[in-house]
Amino acid sequence: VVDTGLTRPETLPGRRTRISGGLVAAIVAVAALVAVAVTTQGFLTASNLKATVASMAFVGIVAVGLTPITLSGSLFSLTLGSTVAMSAVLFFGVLGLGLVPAIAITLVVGILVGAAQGYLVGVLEANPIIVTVAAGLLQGGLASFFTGDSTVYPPTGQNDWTVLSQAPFGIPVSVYALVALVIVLTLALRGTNWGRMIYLIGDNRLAARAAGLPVGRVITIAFAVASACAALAGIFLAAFSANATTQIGGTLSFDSIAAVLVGGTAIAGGSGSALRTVFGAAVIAVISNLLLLRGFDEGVRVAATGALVLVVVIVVQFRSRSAAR
Amino acid sequence: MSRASGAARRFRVTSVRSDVIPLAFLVASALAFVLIPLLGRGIVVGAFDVFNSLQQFAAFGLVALALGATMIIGEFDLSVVGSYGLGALAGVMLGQQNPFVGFAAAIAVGVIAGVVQGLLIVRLGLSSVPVTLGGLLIMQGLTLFISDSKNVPFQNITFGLLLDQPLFGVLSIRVAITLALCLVAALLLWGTAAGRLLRSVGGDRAASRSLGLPVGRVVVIVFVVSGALSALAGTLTSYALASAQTNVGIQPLIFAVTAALIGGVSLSGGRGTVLGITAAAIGLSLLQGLFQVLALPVYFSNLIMGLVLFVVAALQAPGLVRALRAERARRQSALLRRELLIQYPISN
Repeated sequence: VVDTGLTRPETLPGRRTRISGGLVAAIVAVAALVAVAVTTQGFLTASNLKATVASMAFVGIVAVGLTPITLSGSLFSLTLGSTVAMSAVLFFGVLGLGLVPAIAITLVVGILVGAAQGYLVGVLEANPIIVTVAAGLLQGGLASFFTGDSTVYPPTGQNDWTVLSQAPFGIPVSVYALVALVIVLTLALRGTNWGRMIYLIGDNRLAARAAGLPVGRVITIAFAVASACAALAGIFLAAFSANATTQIGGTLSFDSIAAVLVGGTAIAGGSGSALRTVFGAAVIAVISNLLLLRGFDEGVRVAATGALVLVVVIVVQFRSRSAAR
Repeated sequence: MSRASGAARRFRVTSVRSDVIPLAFLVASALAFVLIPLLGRGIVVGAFDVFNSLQQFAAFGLVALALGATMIIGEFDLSVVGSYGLGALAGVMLGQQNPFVGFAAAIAVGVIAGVVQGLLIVRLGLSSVPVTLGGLLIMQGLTLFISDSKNVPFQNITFGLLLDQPLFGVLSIRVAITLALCLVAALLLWGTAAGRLLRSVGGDRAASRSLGLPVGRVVVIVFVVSGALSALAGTLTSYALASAQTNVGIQPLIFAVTAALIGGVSLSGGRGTVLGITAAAIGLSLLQGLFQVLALPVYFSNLIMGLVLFVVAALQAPGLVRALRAERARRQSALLRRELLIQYPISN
């Protein structure tokens, strides 16, 4: 059968069918995932599901915080893993001052670190990859300098921080924090001027600048938000591990970017949401968990995440292309 | 990335030869390398210290060239570290009997990575950053998987030692190989049509396309070269260190991007030379060698590298350039106003 292409206009009347096509693909993918999940021994146990959700909380918090940066068209940050580690170390380092002051100090430092990068990227229009790689080196260097690369423990006899690693109703506090963060950030992105400007800038930065929007300030705040979220994740991670090292950030930099992209937030900015990012983080967490249960190692998990990123980036590109037609 | 770079291009400085800065950086690094240990601690650096520092150039110089080439055409290849690690693993595993089979295997890995990513970018019109991020994760994952998360030893110690044989006291064979490849790349691109093609694709892609230049082919080829050079660098290093690392980290990327930026490659594309990148990479190796000679802790080198990158990022930032131009224009017009007032005083 030769496809003459003549039947195309009738069968594909523009945008609606294409998007529902994407929807079908998404449903098929989720169904396949569910099928694999159900047939995987040990997945549908309460303890495993809890562990999956708990492991998702850290990358989820970082990734949700990263979302406004990507939405604003500033690509992403490659430093959030370093911010997590620096914050974890800092949190236990200043915990002697009391739990609340320690949390406050860690968050404020996080905000300042993020705002500085945001100023360079937003106001001076420096390249976000370079700026955040540089910031990663500086934060890692400072964390090593202050700790001498040794493990930091909370002060002996002080136990108030364990409240952060508890699990009311069987769910860790960090998961509640993630939910709260998603609600707050969704409201901020939808309901505030800052949020609406994030989308406008991501959609067309030149137009936003020409219209006199405070592009620099909006992006500076986006980086401050991302960095503050990474600091929060660092606090939870330190409490969860009961110690902190300069390596505790692990692969969170790349994992959070993967979650944002798998959630379908366009790398060029302008479309996406905090909720989508959580969805992306959840998909990655479930797939990682399934691979683990089926006996695959870390390498397969990383490669699968990479493949997923590529597939979603391609799908998003096709959808935005067909939407533009 | 190239879309947002229009502003940068408009304000390009054309009067300064772009190789002056990296060459000055190289000279400054060399002077610092000799003078700081001497004046600060009374240490006289010898040929052995130079030899040691340049090993860093052999490890990452080709990665800088690879990443730099993708930046010149207005793209950014994050996957250079992936090709570096996976290429090294392929080279070590398949090159145990015959190292040249290993080299071929490594280059094949890099070429495949480059072809796939390049085609995705060109055919689907994707941005190179997310594509190469996916490629990086896939290659990192494969490296971990194939090596079973363990460093793989290279049994052919004789060949590894041969690569580190000193030449003229200060170069190792692998430094010489790296330099030779840089020289070949420089000859291929200096003043030739190929060089102009690269820069025009990076400078203004739409215009290049309407001129009928083979933009798509150039992009794919550059990604292929980028993957192959990175894989080759990884293999050379692993042979010399007698082991392929399972987790390379992003150290090669940091070195490469710093060298490319100091080397005069612009983030907006269209600018940069092999000579500049090579000079900057050698200078950077000497700088890191200086930290070793002074026995400074690792975090110190990280802090310095971070600061250098920050400064370079800020200097290349279009916003800063624009602000400086506006400031200069303001000052000039103020000067002009004053001169006019002197020549034609306003009489009340």
